Amino acid sequence: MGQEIFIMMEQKEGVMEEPSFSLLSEGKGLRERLGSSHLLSAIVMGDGIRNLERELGSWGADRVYYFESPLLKRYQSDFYLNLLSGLVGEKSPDFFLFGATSLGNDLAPRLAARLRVGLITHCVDLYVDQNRVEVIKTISDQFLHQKLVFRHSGLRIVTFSLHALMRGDQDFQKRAEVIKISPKIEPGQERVRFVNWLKADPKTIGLEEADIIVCGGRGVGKKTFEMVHQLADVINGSVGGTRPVIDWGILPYERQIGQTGVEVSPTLLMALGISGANEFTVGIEGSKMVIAINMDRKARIFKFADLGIIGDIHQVIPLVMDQIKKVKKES
Amino acid sequence: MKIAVCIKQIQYIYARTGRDPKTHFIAEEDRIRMINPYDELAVEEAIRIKERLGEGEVILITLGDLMAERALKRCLAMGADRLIQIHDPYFKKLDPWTTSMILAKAIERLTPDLIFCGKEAVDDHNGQVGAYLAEWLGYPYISCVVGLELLPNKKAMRVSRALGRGDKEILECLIPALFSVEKGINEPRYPTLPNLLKAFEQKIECWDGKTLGLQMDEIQPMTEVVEIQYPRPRVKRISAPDGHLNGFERVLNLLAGSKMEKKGRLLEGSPEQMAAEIVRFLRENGIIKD
Amino acid sequence: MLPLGGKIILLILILMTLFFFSRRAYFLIRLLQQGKPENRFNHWGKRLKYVLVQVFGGRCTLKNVTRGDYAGFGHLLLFYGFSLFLISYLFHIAEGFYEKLSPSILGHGFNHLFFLFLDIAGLVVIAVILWAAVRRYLIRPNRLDPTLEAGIILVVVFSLMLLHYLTEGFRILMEGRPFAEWSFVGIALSHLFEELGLKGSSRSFFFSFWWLHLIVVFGFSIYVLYSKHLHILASFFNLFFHSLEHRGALPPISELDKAKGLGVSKIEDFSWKKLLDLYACTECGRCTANCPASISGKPLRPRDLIYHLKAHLLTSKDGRFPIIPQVVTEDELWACTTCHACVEVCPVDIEHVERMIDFRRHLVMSQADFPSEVKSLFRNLEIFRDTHGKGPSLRTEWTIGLPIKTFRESQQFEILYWVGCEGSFHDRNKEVSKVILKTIQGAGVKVGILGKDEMCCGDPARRIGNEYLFRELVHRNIGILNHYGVKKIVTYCPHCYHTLKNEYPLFGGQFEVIHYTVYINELLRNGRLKIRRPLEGQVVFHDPCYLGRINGIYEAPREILKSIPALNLKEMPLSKERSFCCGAGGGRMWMHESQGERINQIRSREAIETKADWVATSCPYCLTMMEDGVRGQETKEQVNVLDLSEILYRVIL
Repeated sequence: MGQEIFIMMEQKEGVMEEPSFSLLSEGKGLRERLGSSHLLSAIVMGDGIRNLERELGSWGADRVYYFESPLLKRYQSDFYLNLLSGLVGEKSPDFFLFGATSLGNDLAPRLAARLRVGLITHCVDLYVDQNRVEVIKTISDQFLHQKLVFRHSGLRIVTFSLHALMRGDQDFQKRAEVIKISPKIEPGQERVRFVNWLKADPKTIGLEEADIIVCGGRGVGKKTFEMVHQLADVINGSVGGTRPVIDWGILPYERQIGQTGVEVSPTLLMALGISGANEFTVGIEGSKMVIAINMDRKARIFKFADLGIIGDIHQVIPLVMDQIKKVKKES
Repeated sequence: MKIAVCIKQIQYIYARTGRDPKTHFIAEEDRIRMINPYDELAVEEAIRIKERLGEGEVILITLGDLMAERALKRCLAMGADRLIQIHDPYFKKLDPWTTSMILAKAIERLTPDLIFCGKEAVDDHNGQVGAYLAEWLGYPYISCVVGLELLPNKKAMRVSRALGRGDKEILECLIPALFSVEKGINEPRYPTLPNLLKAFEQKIECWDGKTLGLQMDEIQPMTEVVEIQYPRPRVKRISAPDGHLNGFERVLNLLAGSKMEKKGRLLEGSPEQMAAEIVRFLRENGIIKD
Repeated sequence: MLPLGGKIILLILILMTLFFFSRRAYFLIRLLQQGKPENRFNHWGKRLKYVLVQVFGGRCTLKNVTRGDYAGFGHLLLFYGFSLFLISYLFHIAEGFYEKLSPSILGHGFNHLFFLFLDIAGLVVIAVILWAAVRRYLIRPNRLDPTLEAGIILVVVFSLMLLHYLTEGFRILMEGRPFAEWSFVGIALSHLFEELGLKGSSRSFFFSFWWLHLIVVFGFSIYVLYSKHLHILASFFNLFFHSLEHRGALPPISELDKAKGLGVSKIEDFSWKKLLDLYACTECGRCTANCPASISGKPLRPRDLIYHLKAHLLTSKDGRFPIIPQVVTEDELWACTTCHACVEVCPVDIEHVERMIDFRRHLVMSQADFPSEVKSLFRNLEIFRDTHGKGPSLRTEWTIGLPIKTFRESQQFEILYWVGCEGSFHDRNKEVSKVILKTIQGAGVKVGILGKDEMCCGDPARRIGNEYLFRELVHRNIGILNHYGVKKIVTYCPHCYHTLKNEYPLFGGQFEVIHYTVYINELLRNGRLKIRRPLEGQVVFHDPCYLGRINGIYEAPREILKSIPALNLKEMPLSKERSFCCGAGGGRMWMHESQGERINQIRSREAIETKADWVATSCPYCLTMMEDGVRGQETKEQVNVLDLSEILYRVIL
C-alpha cells in the first residue's frame, strides 16, 4: 500500500468532534491533489469509542488507528507524543494534519521536535505542485499571507487554522478500516503529571475567558434583569453588563464590559438592550459572533452584529428561551 | 532561582494604508515595533516568581536586530536583571527551528531553573519555539500556562494550563522546566519611572554566533518563506464595497484596511419570527447542539 | 497715663506677646522653608497691585457674591471695621506710656472723627458677628462647619467690641468731658453708668476694662497664629505670591530625566507656596461646595483635604510619614476631574488642582500605582500614540470622502485643524470633526490636517500624572508641528486647545492656538461664513471646563448660538464660570466611577430641567458624557445632545 496522510482526530468523552471532520475533508482534498494514491488515516485516541469505521469512513478516512486506553481519554502530552512518534516511525506518513486547537497547538510542535521534521502552523491553504508542497498561512493579524515550503522530504506536519477549515460532503457508504491498538502505557513515567481537570463554570469564570457571554444593557431594565441570567443559563453563557447596569448595583464591577471594564473575546456575545456607545463597543471588538437585540433600528450596536434583531427583548427573549428548551428536549 | 525569558521583538501590523504594492500596501505607520504581548506576560510571571521567592535572577533573551530597543528596556524596567541580545549577521532567514536552536545554545550557557516564553508571537503565530527549546534542552514543557505555583519542596511546579473556553487542567512537573504562557496568567505591571530610566542606561549584553560556539551549517531551517502575499480581503476585516462610495473611495476604504463595520443581517418582524431567527443562528453556529 | 509699675507690666505684656508671636511665626516660616523652591518673586508691581485689588478692593471676598454668596459683604465689613480697631489698639498701647491720655496725640479734631468711626465700626462689626453666628450655628449652610474655633473667634471679636465700648464709656465718665465728642455710643454709655451710680468707681472700672481690653488683644494676636485665622496674615502673602501662569497650565518637572521631583509623597515635596496655601485656607468650604466630586458623593472634599494637609504639616515635626494614604486617600485624589471649580471660588487663591496632580505624579511615576483601567490608556498612548489604541494609520479614517489634505501632501494652508484623538477615533465625535471641517471649509478657509503625523496632545497622560509619557508626546508633536512650519492651529477639543496653547510653550512649542468656537465665531463676524436660515427651538449651552473656566472662553460659543435667528439660548443655573463639570476631565474619562452618583447624571438632569430642545457643548468628552447622562435619566423628557457646530451646520448649508 502507498503512503499515508495522517489526520489527528479529537474526541471529548468518547464522542468525536470538530475539527476532526473538517480535517478529514481537508485531507481528502489533499489526497486528490497528490494524485489519490495516498491513504487517509485518522488517528484516534481515547477509550470506548464506537462506530469509528462508519463515522470516520463517511468523512473520507480509509483507515483509523485507534489507540484505546483509559489513560488516553484526555489529552496528555507525554502519552500522546510517545504513541504518535512510535506510529509515525512505523508507518512513515507523508503528511500529518492537525487542527489548530488546544491539543493541536500543543502536540504538533512537540511531535515535530521529537521527529526532527518541519512544522507549519495556522495554515489556511495547502497547494501541491508536483512534489513541492506550498503552505499558506496568515500573518500580521491577517493583513498579510505567507507562502512557505518545507526544506526537507518525508513527513510534513501542518496545523490548520480553524476558521479556514470547511467540512466537505459525507459518503455514508464508505467504511474505514479500524486498526485498534491497545498501547502499553506506564503511568508514572511521564514528565508532566496530570493532577486535575477544572471544567469552566460560566457563572464564575472571568469574562475574559468566557466563551459565550450574554450582556445586558440599560434597555433590559433594572427590574427585569433576571432575564439575562436566565438566558445565560439556557445557553450556558456568562453574564456581563454595560456600565449603567453596573451602576445600578445589580452586577459586580468585574462583570462590566467596555472602556472602564473588561475587554472580552468570546465566540458569541449576545447584546441585549445595548445601544452600542463607543465606550462599550471597544470592549467587544474581539468577539467572533455578535447577536444584538434592540428596539432602536438606528442603534449603533447593529454595526457590530452578525445578527441584528429589531425588537423588544422583553418579548423576544422569553420566546427564545422557550424554543431552546424545546430543541433541547427533542434531542 | 535563575529564570530565563525569551522575548521577541515584533512588527505589529494593524492597518494597510500604503500605496506601494512592493510593500504589500503596508506603510511605515502601519507597523508598530513592540514586544510580543504574550512575552510581556512571561516577563511579568518570571518577575513575580522572583519576588515571591525573595531571590533569583531574571534574564531576558532576545534574538535579532534591536528594532524595539525601548520596548525591550521597558521589560527590563519591569524588574528583570539582565537583557541578552543574540545577534549575528550570519543569522538570516530564521525559522522557528533555527531560532530555537540558537536560543537553546544561549540558554544552555545560562542553565536556568525556569524558562518562560509566550505561547506564540502575534506577528507570525508560529507557536513552536517553546516546544522545540524544551526538546533540545530536555526540559519538561507545558504550554498555555495560566497559573503557576512552586511547590513547598521547591523542586516542582504546579501549573494550571488553559484548554480554551475557560476550561483548565492542573499539571505538575519537576524543575527545571519550560513554560509558555497564555493570556490571563497575569496583568503585566507598569514600570515605575526610576526603573525605566535605570533600564535605559543599562547595557544590553550582546552574544553572537561565536560566543555561542555555533556552527551555522549545522543549523538548517526546516521551512522557508518563499513569498509574502497581499491577502484577499477577509470578511471580518474589510467591508463589502459600499455602493454609496465611488470607486476611488472604495479603494481608499480597502487600503485603510481597518476594522470596518460588520455587514451582518438586520431583521425585523414578529417576536416569534425573531426568536426563531435567533435560535436558528445559535443552532447553525453550534452554540446549542441538536 | 500709667504709673511706672503699670508701664513695666504693659511693657512685659508687649514683650511676651511679641515673644510668643514671633516664636510661632518663626515656627511657621521654618515649616514653609522645608518646601521645595519655587520662584514667585518676580513682577513685584503686578503682584502688589493684585493684592491691593484683592484685599483692600475686597475682590477676594466679593468675587463670589455674584453666585448669591453674600457672606462676602459681611466679611469685607468685618475686615474694614476690624482694621480700624487694630489701629485703635496702637493708640491704646501708646497712651499707656504717655503721661496724658490719648487726645493729646493727634489733636482733638482727629480724635473726634476717629472715635466716631470706631463707634460706628464697632456696631457694624457686632452686627456682622451676630449675623455670622446665626448663619454658622443656626442656619448652617453646607459649606460651613459649626466648629469651636470659629466660635472662639466670634466670641473674642464680640467681646473686644464690648470692651471697647465699656472702656470708652467709663473713660468719658471718668474724664468728665468727652475726649472724643462725637463718640455717641461711648457718651450714651457714660450717661447710663452715671445713672447706675458708678461715677465714683469709674476710674477703677476704666482701668480694669482698659487692661482687660489689651490683654484680650494680645491674647488674640497670638491665638491667630494657632488657628484658622492664620489666614488673616497668610492670605495676604498667598495672594501676593499667587501663580502668574495660565490657570490649569501645570508646571513641568525640571529633573524628570533624573527621576527627581516626581510629584509629592511627603509634605516637604510640595513647593513652599503650596505649603503657604495651607496657612491661607480660611476653611470657608466654598471649594467643597462647588466641587463636582464632593457634590456627587465622592470621598474628595477639597476643603478637608487642605485642612488635613495643614494639620499634618503643623503636627508631625519629625519622622514625617507618606501623605498617601494616611493623610490623603487614593480615592480622594483620583476623584478630581481637574475642573477648577475649587480654584475658581477660592478667595485666597489656593492651588488645589496642581496639588492633586502632584500626588498623582508621585503615584503614577514613582509607584506605578493607579486605577487599573488607566493602564490600557497608558499603553495605547505609548504604543499607538492615541487614547483609543487604533494607531496613526487609522487617524484619517474619518476623512474618507472629504476633500482634505494633510500637511504631508501640501503646506499651503491658512490653518492646521487639530482633530484630536476623540475627534479622530470616537464614532460620535468623528461626526463632529467632519461638521467642523465642513463648516470651516465652507467659509473658504484653506485648512489642512496632520493626519498620520498627529498624536495625542498628552492631556490625559498629564492630568493622570504620567508626566514622562506626556513629555514624550509633546516633544514628538512639537517636532512635527515645527517640521511643517505650522503657525496657526484650530482645535476641536478644548483639552487639546488648553494643552497646545498653554502648556506647549513651556516645552518650546510656540503656536497660535484657537478653539474652533472662537475661530468660527470670527468667521461669522467677518462675514466669511453666513447663516442662511433660522432655527426654531431652545438650546442650552454646557460650558466645557477647559474652554470656560480654565480658558475664559464663555462668549464665543454663546455668540454663535445667539446669531442664529429664532434660536433661543437658555442658561442652566450653573453656567459660565460656575459651570458644572461633565465628569470626564482629569483622565476620569478612563476611570471607573463607582462612588456616589455619576457626575454626568447630575449635569444632564440640570440640562433637562431647562426644558431646552438641545443641549449644545463644544467638547468631545462633554458630548459623550452628556449623551450618556441624558440616556440614563429616568424622566421621559427627551433632549438631544449636540455639538455646537452641528447646530450651526444646520443653518449655514
